[in-house]
This record gives sequence, C-alpha cells and structure tokens, in this order.
Amino acid sequence: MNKLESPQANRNFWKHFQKQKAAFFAFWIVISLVIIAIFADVLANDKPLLASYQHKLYFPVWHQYSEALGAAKNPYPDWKTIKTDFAIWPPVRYAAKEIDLNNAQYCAPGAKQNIKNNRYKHYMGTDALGKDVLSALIHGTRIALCVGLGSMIIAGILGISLGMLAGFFGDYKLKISKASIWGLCFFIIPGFFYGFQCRQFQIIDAMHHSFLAMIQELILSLLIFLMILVLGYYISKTLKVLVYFRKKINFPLDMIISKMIEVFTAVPKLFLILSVVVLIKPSLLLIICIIGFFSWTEMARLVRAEMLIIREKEYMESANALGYPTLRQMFYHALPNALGPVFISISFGIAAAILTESSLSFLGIGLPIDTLSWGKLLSSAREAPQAWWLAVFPGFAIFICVTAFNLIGDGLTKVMEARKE
Amino acid sequence: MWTYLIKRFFAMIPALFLSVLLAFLLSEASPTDPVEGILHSERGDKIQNNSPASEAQQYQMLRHKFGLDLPTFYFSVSSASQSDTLYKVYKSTHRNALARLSDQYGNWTFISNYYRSLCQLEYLLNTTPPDSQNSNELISAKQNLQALFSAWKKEEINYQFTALEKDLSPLPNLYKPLKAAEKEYGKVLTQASPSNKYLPCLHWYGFRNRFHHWLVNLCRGNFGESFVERRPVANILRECIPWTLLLNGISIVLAFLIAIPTGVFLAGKRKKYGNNIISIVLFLLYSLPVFWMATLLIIFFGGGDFLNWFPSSGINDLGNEAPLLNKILNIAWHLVLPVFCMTYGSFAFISKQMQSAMEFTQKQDYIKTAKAKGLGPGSITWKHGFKNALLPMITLSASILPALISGSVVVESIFSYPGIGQKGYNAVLNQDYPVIFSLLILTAVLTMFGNLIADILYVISNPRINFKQRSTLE
Repeated sequence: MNKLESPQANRNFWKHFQKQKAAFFAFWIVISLVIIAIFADVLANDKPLLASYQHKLYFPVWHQYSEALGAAKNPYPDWKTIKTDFAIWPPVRYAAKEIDLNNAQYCAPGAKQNIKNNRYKHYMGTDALGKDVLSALIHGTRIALCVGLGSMIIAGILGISLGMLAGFFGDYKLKISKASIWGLCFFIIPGFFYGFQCRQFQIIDAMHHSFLAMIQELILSLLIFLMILVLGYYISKTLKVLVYFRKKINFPLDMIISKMIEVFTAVPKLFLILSVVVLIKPSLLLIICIIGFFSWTEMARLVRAEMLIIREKEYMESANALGYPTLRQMFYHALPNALGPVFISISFGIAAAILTESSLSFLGIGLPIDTLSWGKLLSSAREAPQAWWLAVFPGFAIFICVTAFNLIGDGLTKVMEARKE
Repeated sequence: MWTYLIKRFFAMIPALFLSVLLAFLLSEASPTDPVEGILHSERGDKIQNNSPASEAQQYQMLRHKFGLDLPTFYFSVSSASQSDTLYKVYKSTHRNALARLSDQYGNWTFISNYYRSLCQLEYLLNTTPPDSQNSNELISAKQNLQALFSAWKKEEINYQFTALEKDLSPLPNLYKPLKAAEKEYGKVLTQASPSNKYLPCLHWYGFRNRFHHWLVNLCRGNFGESFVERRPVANILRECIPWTLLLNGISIVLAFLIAIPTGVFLAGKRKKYGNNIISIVLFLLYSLPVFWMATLLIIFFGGGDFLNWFPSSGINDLGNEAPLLNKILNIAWHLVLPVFCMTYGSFAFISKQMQSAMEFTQKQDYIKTAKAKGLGPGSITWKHGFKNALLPMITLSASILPALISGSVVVESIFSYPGIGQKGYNAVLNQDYPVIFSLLILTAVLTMFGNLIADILYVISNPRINFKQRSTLE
C-alpha cells in the first residue's frame, strides 16, 4: 500500500511545498549555502584555479586536494609572489587561515588597504592578524553545515529509535518473561565489566590520541556489552524450567523513555553541553556528537506521539492479524508513516544546532583553535568593539543560515497541515 | 486534587534522581584533580617554602574536607587485579599509575609493596638534610622519583630507576632503599598474573561513600563548597539568584505583555498587509542569534566608536552608599540592553504560539455559536476566544524556563552581569564542580516544579478537565 501511494504523495508534497513561497526561497538559500560549502576552496583561496607559469599549465587548487590525499608532494611556488603568464584566480584571493601582514590590525572594508591592486581587496575587512573575513566566512559555511547535519543525524538515530520504541510498545505491549528480566539484569554487570571496565585504559589512551579513535574503541566496547547481553538472554531461557520464571510481565518502556526525555528537557541544554565539552579535548566531531546527543528529545517526543496514533490505526491491526513479525510491523508499516513530523523537527534542529555551536564558539569553548567557524569570528569582535565588520558579517551569516532552516521547518509544518486537511 | 498532587510529586522523584545522577557522573568524568588546583593557587598566593611533608598533610586535609578520600559509589565492580582501597592513595597521578600497573600485571599485593617502598624512599629523600655536596643530586633525585611515581610503562620505569641510581650512588643510606624498591619492582614483573584482569570482583562500600554524603547534604540544603572561591555554594547562589530572577522576571513579564496582544492581533486580522509584515519581523526576531544582537548592541550603543548611550557591563557603578532612588535608576539603566536581548526571542516565540492558539480557538464550535447568537466581534475575540487561547500559554510559561537560563548564560557573560548564568559559565571554565552541580540540579528542580504548577493552574483554569481525568490521562 505504501509503495503504490508514495510517488503520487511525493509529487503532491513537492507541489504544496512550492506554494510556500518563503520556505521555497529558503530552500534555495540552503542549496546555495551547500554549494558554497562544497566549493569553498574554489571560491576563496590563495592559489589560482588555473595558471600558466613558465609556459606550463597548472591547476593549483586541484593540486591542493591531491596533496591532502597524499598523492602529490608540493613542488609549487607561492603563487602570489611569482609572476605568472596568466592566471584565473578565485573571486576571493585569500585562503581561510592566510595571514596578510600588510593589512593586520583590523582593516576596515571601506578604508584604504595596503594591497597590490583592487583585485586583492579584503571585501569584508580583516581581523587582528590580517585574516580575510570573507574567506573565513566562506570556509566557515562548511563547519556550520557539518555541525547542523551531523548532529541531526545523531539526534535522528537516537530520537527516532527511542521515540519509536516508546510509542510502539507503550507501557503494556512489551511483555518479557521474568527469566529474561533477571537474566538481563544479572548480565548487565559482566557486560559492563568486560565491555568498559576491562578496556577503560584503552579507551582513555584512545581519547588522548584522537576523538575518532575513542569512538572506535567505544563502539567495540558497546559491541562486547551487547554480545554479553544477548548471551545472557539466551542463557536465561534455561531458567524457564521453573514456573516462577515463566510468567510474563509488562516492561514499562514508555515510562522509562518519557522520564529520560523529562530529565533532558528540564536541564538547560547549553549549560549541560558546556559542562560536558570542557571535559574533553576540543574537536569538531566531538561538538557534533555532543550537540546531537543532547537534542534527540524533541524528535523522540514527536515520533512517540505519532506512534501512539498510528498503532491504533486499522492497517496496523491488519498487519498484526496477518501475523507479520513485530520488527516488520515497526519498520515497514509504522515508521514510514511517523516520519513526517521528524523532517520538521530536523530542519528546526539544524538551525538550533548551528546556533548552539556558534554560541559555544562565541564563548570560546568547543572547537579547536585552528578551526574557523562563524561563532569564533564573531567572538573576535568582542576584543575589538571598533571593528564593526567582525560582528556584522559573521553574525549575518549565522542569521541567514538559521533563518533559512527555520523557514523550511515552518513551511513543512504548513504543508503537513494542508495535507491533513 | 491532593491524591493527584501526591501522585505527581512521587512521579517526579525518579526524574530528579536521574538528573542528580547525571550531574554526579559529569563530575566523576573530570580528569583534573581539584585539590591540586587549590594547592596550586594557594602556592601562588603566598610564596613560602612549605616542606613536602606538610604539603602532603595539607593535601590530605583538603581531600578529607571535600570528601574526596571516600569511595565514589555504594559499590564498585572492578577486576580482581585492581585494589578496592585505591581511593585511599591521595595523589591522582599516583592513583592513575597504580591502576595502570595493576591493569598490566594483575598482582596488587606486589604492586602495593612496590608503592610502599617508593613512599619509604620518598620519606628518606625528604628527611635527608641537603648539604653542599649532595644538594644537586637530591633535587634531581626528587624530580626523578616523582616521575617514577606517575610512570607505568616498563621502559619509563627502568629509565627512571637508572637515573635515580646515578643520582643516589654517592649516598649509601638512600641507595639501599632504592635497590629494595627495584627488587620489589622485579617481583611485580616476575609474579605477574595479567589474567586477573578478566576476573570481575564486586566491592561493597556501604554508606560511607561520596555519592551518599553528597546526596544527604543536598537533601539538607547543603550544596557543598566551591573549589575556586572556597566558600559555600549556597552563599554564592544567594548572591547571584536575585539578579538572574530580576533579569529573567522582567524579560518574561515584558515578553508576555507584548506578545499576547500581538498574537491576538495577528490571529484576528487575516490576510492583511500589516499582518504579513509583523509575521515576517517576528520570524526574523526568532532566528536572530542572541549573542550577535548583544555584540551589535554593545558595539553600536555601548560605547565603541559609535553611540555611548548604555553601559556595556556590570550592574551598578554607584556603590552601596548612593541614595536608593539613584541606585534603582542606575540599575535600570544597566538593565536595558540585557533585558532587550533576553526579551525579543521569547517575545517572538510566545506571540507565534499565541497566534496559533487563537487561530485554533476560532475554529471551535463555541465561537460559531457565539457568532450565531449575534455577539459583537470584540466580545467574541476577548470573551470567548482569548480566554480559551490563554490555556496553552500556561504550559508554555513553565517550559520556557530552561531555555531562558541557557540564554542567560550567553547574555550574562557578554554583559558581565552578576547572575547565575555568568557564575555557571565561569564555574564551567574553572571546572568548579560543586557550583556546576548545584546549578544543574537547581534548574532541573525549578523546571519540574514549574511544570507541576503549570499543570495545577491548567486544571484550575480549565473547568472541562478535573484532576481525576488528568491523572488517568497520564
């Protein structure tokens, strides 16, 4: 049924969405932001895109990628000092972290700049070290979108699965035999012991090494933990020879997850994230994970509410009557129908995540020193109140990005409402 | 009603316990040793040559004072190789090295012998009076010994031992214990049983543990003592909370006062030009980052190169002796920018909510009835629509609190406003855990009670629902 209906539904959705003018406009803004992020190196760089030097053609920007991949060494000269036959430069002739010593100490966008010719202009001024603001903005788009999308992927996985479990099973539908409960409770301790306790020093060493290594170790630990739990589950089935353990009882999954949501929403999010972030070595991936980890509640709540409605629908009843396994009912019949509000929450969530990351960077916590983000650029305006361009432009970029995602969320809400009617 | 209240109250306890546990786990994850930080800052304060022995005493005293010399939780699951009394070792670097060693070699008895022999050597080193001949060797030996204490890798330990041998070879009364320590280390190596690592072991510590003490103190209203400021957290909070309440109170009241009429206005006149503009402005205000707004306000109105209308930091620059009226005016003058920053976001949010609530009520049957009865538009909007649209606002006002505190972290630290937001931010930077906990738990408790009060108000103001229904609904 789902499959037959979906292409038509998709077309309808797109038509409705196009009618939301503001949201549609915001959609194009987001597309262009994505393009800016992808082509940041082409838009702002200290190397030409194409250059002829001593009668030979070079593609310095592309060379930069192969250098980064380790495929090529760097035989190329500093393109700004040598005299090329001809060169096609990017629109902004400064790399993100390039320091222009001639224009250090806050060069205003309108003021006279110490440059070769007008094409080398700092269109949006410079900061204390002489870094070009526009170039930093262009490269900061990457960080902002990475944080927004990445954290929402994590929040989505957590929120959808927890919300689905809570809504689908409720407090009374999940029945577990006493044997399994006792078995699982008992095996949590060895699971934790072999998964995490025995490996604690490996995890700590990996943490000092890099965040990625820590994630790898943690996933391995989690796998060990789960394997022991599964083992415990099957071992505990032997307990069923006793009558006491055969009795099935309700597992209040909904209550547990709702309580978790309650706790997470009761504590101010930014403050919680702040107190976690200072504990670990700053890195982009860490920020993404932490923001994602603390913003799943909204999605879980929405999915749970949808699921509570869906599980009473007739098609769920018939799926149940046809004898489909629970997992198939959950993922194939229930979940696709509950995803609508999730998209709304994702687009609002991306806006919120970008805001959170900028606030953290603004407060000087979270990202490593050499990562350029909009919030960091904005925070440098606090040290120099006279440099208005350091506050206005990055702030405006954050504002545009956040507004665009919020507008899309708003538009999606309206489309959903229109489709319901 | 009372049964409902009691039920709700008990339902809050697991959530509260979870939030307390969360805050406690956060502190345990902290890699820094607070006592070392305190000693370090004190050493900076008064430059005096403490003997290492008295310093150790001081260290232990501080640890005892903050309850850090107790085990963490009621029980612990650790491997059989680890000691259950490791928390008694007072220096965090030593603890860490010992834990690593027992992780590698798995025989705690020999490792503790080795540690004891090192302590013996340290004691002898500290009590040996330095004279002209051996002072350099003594100093370098002390340094090497400290490195040995925090070493756990085989090559590192061997390296430190050879360095120590070189230092101490002219001093026979110190060379002998060094050799003894080396022997102990050899025993650790030869008697190693690394398989012990995979043997789980449950230790029960009883009520003499840190979590229990902390929880009991919390229930008594004792929030502990700040690591950085060295005074009770309760006093710090008492100073900060009124300022935050003032800021948040003013901004909540202002936001609701402006937002509710705006929402009603927006819902009432559909499809008009002005209406659209206000909606767009509201939407833009909602997405405007607070920290950007605050920075811009400081740059353009707080005395940069532009206007100097408002002060950009602090709360009161007149001092306590100034007349009351002047003081109030001064504080109000300082409050203008922060209040504006705190207000505009929630104003936009609340008016959106009010608008949708009004639109929802206008579709209801009772509005149609009122229209059919021939009531005027004013009476319909205000008497029938408005009253019902206010109900969701009650729930909203409770749930807005955590967001406001998050906002005040940013606003207060930008304007250096002396409230809990700025205190919390500084505490996070200094890893001052007693303050961070207290703030986390305080806000969690406040929000939960806020939700409870909102629920009660909801039922009181909505005659269609009574408490019995509400408790069955949940």
